[in-house]
Amino acid sequence: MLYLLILIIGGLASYFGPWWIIAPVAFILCWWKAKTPKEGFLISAAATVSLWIGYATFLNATADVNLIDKIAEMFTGGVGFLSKIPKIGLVFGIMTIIATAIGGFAGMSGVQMRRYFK
Amino acid sequence: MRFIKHFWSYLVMVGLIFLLHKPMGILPPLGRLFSPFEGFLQNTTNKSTLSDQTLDLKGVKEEVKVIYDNNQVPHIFANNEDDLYFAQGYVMAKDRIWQMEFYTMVAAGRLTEIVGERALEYDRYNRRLGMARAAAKIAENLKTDPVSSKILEAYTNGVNSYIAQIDYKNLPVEYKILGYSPTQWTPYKTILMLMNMRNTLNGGSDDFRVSNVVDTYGFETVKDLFPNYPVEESPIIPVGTPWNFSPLPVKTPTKIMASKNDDKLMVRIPSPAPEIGSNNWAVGGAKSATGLPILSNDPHLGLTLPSIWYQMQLSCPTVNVYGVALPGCPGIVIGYNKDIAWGVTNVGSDVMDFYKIRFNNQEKTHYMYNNKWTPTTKYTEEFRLKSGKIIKDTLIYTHHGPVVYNESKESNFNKNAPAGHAMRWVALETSGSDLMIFYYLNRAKNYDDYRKALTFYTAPAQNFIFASNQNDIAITPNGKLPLKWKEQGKYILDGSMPEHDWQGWIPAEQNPTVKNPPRGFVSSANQFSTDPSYPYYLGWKFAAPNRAVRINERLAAMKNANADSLRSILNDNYNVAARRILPTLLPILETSKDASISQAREIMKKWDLMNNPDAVGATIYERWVRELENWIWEDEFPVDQFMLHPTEDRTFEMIKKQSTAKWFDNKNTKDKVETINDIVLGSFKATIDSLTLHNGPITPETWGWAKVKNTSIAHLGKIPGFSRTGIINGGGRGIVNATSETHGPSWRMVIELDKEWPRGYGLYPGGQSGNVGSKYYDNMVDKWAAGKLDTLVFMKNKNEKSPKLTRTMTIKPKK
Repeated sequence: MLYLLILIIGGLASYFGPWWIIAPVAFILCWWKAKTPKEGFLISAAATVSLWIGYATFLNATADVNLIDKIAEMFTGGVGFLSKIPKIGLVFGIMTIIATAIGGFAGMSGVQMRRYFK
Repeated sequence: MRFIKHFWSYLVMVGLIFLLHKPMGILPPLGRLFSPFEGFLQNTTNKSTLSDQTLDLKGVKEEVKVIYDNNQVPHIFANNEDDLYFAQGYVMAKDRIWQMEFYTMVAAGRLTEIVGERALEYDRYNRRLGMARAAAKIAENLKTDPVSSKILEAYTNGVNSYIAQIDYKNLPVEYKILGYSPTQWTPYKTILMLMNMRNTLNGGSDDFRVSNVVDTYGFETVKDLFPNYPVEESPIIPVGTPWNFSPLPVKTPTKIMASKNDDKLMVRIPSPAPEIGSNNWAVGGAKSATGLPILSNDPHLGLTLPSIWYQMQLSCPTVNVYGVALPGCPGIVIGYNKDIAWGVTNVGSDVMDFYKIRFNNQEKTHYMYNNKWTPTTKYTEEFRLKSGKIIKDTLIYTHHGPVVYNESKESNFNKNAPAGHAMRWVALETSGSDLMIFYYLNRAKNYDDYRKALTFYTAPAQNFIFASNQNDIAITPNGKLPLKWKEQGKYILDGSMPEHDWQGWIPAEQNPTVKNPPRGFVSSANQFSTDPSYPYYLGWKFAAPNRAVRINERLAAMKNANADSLRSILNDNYNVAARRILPTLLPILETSKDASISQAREIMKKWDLMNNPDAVGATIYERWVRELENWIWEDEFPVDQFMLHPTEDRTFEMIKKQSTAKWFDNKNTKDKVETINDIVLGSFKATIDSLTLHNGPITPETWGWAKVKNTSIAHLGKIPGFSRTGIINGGGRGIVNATSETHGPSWRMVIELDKEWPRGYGLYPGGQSGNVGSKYYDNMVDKWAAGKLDTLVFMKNKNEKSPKLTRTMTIKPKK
């Protein structure tokens, strides 16, 4: 339930707001719904990652040009050990790390702050 | 403690958002860039991006129709000129705003603001050239020019109208990566863009290098090895064309060079780039199948993505023109209309000279001129780094121009006072309005209109080629050309002598020109404008004659030409230089018994002299001739000592006719005197060894010319994944198809003039969109590499129907 709420409300907010809007959304929803900091972290990280990777997959699938490959090359320069990672894996990997951290800590802090004030 | 326990995750979250929102060092703003909702994935495009659209914009007076064809070329139909240039600015910004702004940051020496400290030296150099200050002065002057100011204002409003409505999601991805956003466009920025072209085409000089040769070997050697006209040449104005004017007198002083220097002048002014150049030609009706002229042009520039050119059609009741425009500049630079076609190549005359300056003290408040201490002007330049840090530099101006180089050590002028070198450069001329030549050419109907348009142009001097449907063809090396005594500016000049100042300008009507020559065609390939019979001195060195020789041979032989015959010249890979020198070099190779070079030698003997993509002979020749030239000259004229090698023409002449010249000896080998045979064989073996080292044993797959040359089109901001590499094509330096590793034909155009309606063909190595996420970012590259041309859609009016027209953007005045 919490997962779906973050996914849907966070998705709508992200569509219109700045990229970090998912953080306050996860924070508030976890304050309201999550039981433990761990649950807050895991569920909101999972929801944020699903949202980012899901939307990214959709945009990439409907695009004329594979921009993900080009951005990956920007980081690897086409050489070195990083270039051995599949390009989409590298880009989705970076996205997952960012989404996990932002979403996860936002959800976790929602629960922790609720406990502080209550 | 309790606070920390409950707040740490919150602080981590806020901290992360803060860190990932802005660039860190060379890292882009990762959070913002990778968010699919705001970041780079928002720059992807698909079918829905390209559909009909209606916009309500403040600033247009009446409705404007922008009809896009299937190559995403906009055809703009407006009811008045203000709306036309407004719409041009708007659609260009829509496709190319990042590129437009980037060029202005380069010319203004402000790249540090967007890429940080690594651009500081480059910025410092560009600031010292003084381009921004000159551009500001030109922009100020143009305010009083009614036509220029009107166009610039309309264009600027159009660009700003686009900038005002762009949100972060839709910013070009380069802005997202570097973490900044576009700022207001101004007419000054348009002039900065033109400054960039002046610098690219005229911003090189060998004055210091030739002076170093004089200081080392004396004037006699320079006269012998660096002559003022090549042995082989096919000048732009055909030999024998009469000069119908009385030239102005020019007096040569007895002293022609600044005093000798104690040490070599180590000044990092780039040599004129040999690959920056171009071809253009026009055949008259007598040589064409239709009986009317055909014109062709391919400007050679550094190959970049986004492309330096942008195709468009501009139409309103006073003009209807098609061609390519420069991002950031109103009007069409190379193109055609119903009656005429025109194009440009670089003249490459010597328009950048250096003057040795004697200052009175360390503060450099005065310099010696005409036996008087004359005050200098000082400016403080501020460089803003991305980090916010500010670095300052002082720029000193003399009446010649900016001091671009200060000797760090004592000079031989005065033991206590420093010397410096001031630059006189045509690019800093602030008179005239270069935009006006294009304004008038866009509207020209005949030869007289062309001649009138030429008078408005300052720099960089170009060979303006022309053809009309009244069966006239013409070419004019045109622009402000300094009036100089013979060899003035071949060496460093003396900044204290008034006789060393530029003597004025060659009167515009006395610039070389030719109309309808008896040979039936006109052409240029950056070679000498004229033979030595022209009464003025333009420079001692121009591009090697190879392309010009080949073009003129082919055009002379041509009959019943059509667009396709001219296209075949654009793609001509014949190596004229190899034809000239191999008959002398190959017999020397035959004298060797070394088995390790025999396979390569056999390939050279069988090579058909074509620099085709699969030609191994071309690979060996191109690498060998470079090696050979180094083997001959590098010992006496080391490049890292800021010396200059003689030209290819002079080198070949020496190989053919002076086989015992002392220069063949490698003076670094003390106990041996090398002969021409030692040098030719040694350099050949070294070439083969080096090629083998990099490419393995000789096979057509690994040694093919296209493979080894590896033509690349680099992204303007050098972002690796945004570039194209490994393009398969032939050509090379000095080949008519002038595609080298990094430079090449940046636009190819062939126009068949017609009484009814002209037929245009063309393309460039890129795409209309500056967005790397669009398939129109580089869609023309493969076709370009294959030597094909697109049929251009030049519409008669906005109601014309064509299956190639795909969508319409309607711009309406906002109430």
